[in-house]
Amino acid sequence: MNIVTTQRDGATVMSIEGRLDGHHAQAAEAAFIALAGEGHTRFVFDFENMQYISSAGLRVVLVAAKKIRSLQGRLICANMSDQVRDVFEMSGFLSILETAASTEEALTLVVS
Amino acid sequence: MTDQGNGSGRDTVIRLANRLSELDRLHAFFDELGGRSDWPDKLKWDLTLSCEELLTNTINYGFPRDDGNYLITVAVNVEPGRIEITLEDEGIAFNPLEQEQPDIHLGIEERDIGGLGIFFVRKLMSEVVYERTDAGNRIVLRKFL
Repeated sequence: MNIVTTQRDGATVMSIEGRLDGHHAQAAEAAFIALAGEGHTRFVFDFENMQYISSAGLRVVLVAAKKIRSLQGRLICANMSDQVRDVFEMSGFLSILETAASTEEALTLVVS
Repeated sequence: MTDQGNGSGRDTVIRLANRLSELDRLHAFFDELGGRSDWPDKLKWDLTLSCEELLTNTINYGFPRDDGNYLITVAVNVEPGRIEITLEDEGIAFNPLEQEQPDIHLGIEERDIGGLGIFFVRKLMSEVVYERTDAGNRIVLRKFL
């Protein structure tokens, strides 16, 4: 797993690349917590180069969603592949998270 | 990875240590096996996910005394029309089928992640069998194609 963070148009884009699984979830959570600790509240999670996600990865997204809500910020999950989307769908997360088909769309939503 | 024989009906086996970093080897194992067996991506994903969920649980909770290294065995048996995966560990007794199922309709505030991994396994596999053995736990997953 690799995480690329970009500040863009007043939002923080976290591109999570590779596998967000039981091995890498803790590192991803730490990266998010550090960014939130710096005062960022508007996030786009970009899954374009995500190869795989399991419940350990979903847990990180849920932790982030709860934290961002408590900060009255906004989180949009963008660019899910069909298989990543299936996992979110199975978990019921698609109905509690905001998603976008592209990073551009997510950036428009996240600062609106 | 070792093959116990070649051809259908034989087991392909990987043994993993009780460390989360070993999950990387699990992914490589299924990538290789899936490529060799011409599995569709979705099937490979579902099998890998089911094993990873169970292994992550076992590694995190199966060895609470943290007193050394244990091996967890994953054996895949492919036959026409069905794939069977047997996971064996020497951890404390844990029957995932007795775990409470998550409520997937709750909102963000109320939502908890507990039990989601096992929920995925039950949803993705055709059969899940748990057996407490003398040495530890055995879980058999079957996927009918």
